[in-house]
Amino acid sequence: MTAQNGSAENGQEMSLRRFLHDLAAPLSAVSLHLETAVRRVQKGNDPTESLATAQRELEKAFQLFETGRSKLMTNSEAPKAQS
Amino acid sequence: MTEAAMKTLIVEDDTATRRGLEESIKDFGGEPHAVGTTKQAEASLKQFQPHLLIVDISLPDGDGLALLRAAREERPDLDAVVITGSSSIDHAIEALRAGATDYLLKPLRPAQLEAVFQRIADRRRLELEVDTLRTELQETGRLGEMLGRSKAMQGVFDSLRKVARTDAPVLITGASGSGKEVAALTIHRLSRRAGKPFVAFNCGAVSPTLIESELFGHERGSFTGADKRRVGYFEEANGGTLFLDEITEMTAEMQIRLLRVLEERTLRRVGGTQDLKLDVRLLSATNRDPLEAIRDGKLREDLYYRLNVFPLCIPPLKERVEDVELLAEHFLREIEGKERAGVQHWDPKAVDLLRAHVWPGNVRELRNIVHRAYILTEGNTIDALTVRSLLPDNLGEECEPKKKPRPARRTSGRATGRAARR
Repeated sequence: MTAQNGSAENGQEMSLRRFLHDLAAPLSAVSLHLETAVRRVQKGNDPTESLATAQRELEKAFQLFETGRSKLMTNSEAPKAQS
Repeated sequence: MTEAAMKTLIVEDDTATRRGLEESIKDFGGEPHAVGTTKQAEASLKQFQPHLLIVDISLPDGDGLALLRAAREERPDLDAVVITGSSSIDHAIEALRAGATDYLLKPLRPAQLEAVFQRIADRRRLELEVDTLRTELQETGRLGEMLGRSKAMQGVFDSLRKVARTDAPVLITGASGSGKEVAALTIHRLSRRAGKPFVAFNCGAVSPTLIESELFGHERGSFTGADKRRVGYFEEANGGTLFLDEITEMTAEMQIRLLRVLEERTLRRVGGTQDLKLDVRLLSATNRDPLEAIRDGKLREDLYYRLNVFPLCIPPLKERVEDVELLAEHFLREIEGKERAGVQHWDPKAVDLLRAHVWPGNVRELRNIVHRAYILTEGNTIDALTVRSLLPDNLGEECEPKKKPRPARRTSGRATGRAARR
């Protein structure tokens, strides 16, 4: 493995770590708000607000996922274009 | 804290999680206040004065654990729950070391958070009940082993109650016989260390050459006569409280050694090669003015600052004359409980005489006078004639032996009755 390859792999790993960290935040919030909604229903309270937040966070997670996927696609297509 | 909602400061940078935590805390019956950065949290800790801190480990402008450490330094009674996205055991250990009561992993589960929240709330409710009981006892003129309804003693009780909750070293000053050791024992019994040993050591009662081995222990063969290993007072007090009386009687060399032990929280027995970890709360006392002792070269200044984190001054009995009757009644009851001679009352004129005396020997002197009057009384009431015959005007102070340092001794925190109640 050359030094250049090594640093590219390190960069990819860093990006992947950042991507997973960014993705974990909205997913964790979805889980928290869904469980809060369930508890509210069980107690006869209104779960609308918790459900709305969960939905927004799920959309955010999906957008992040899409961004990550397109980046991955671009990266994997780039070497083919060069060859 | 009152029965009102537990004030909870949430420090979490992710808006949605922050809002979720806020809602959960409200659902649990708490009073939340949520911020997203350490800077905002620092301001909120001062303004909001939370009982509970819920903090994320990684924050955009700093470290959640550093925030927690700083907050607990200011407010050792602050409960804290650390949130982490990583299941690494190192994070958990680090969180608990920083003073966290608990830690939670993301994704957060409201049911888990509720269990932690309610456990902390229950414990705080119990602490509140204990505080209320303590206040009630204080109002009846009693705090732990101490007695007094005077304004001076109420002030002492107030300080004592507050410092008992912490682990801070306390330097107790006061005239001989004023009750410094009783104050130390009360601090110990009201503290979280109450179930552990309370060891009292009088530095003036042991020859300077022996103090080192008495305090730090020694290994077998470390000096002539050391035929077996001996555990010192510090080790004996491990987990509990060590009370060093007449601290200014310690040699300069021993004071340096003591300072090192306090700084490093480890000790090495005389002749030993191993450093032993220590968890001892140190309370110390002197009947000298500590600043004067520094000027006279009897107390090292650096040690003074180590010992005097919280100063507590016990007033002499002449400055709390209104407590004389309460104390005399208490000692009479205590002595009657042991001797059973049927002496149970005071003639009001006898009490007047006690009140008028200046008590150079303080509470200890009062107790002795009560005991002597008890022995001399033939009926069930101590009269003025008996008391007058015992007060130094008649007895003459020259009849009293010169004060000798009391011997060093060990007292268990669980044991009762080793020290006179005052």
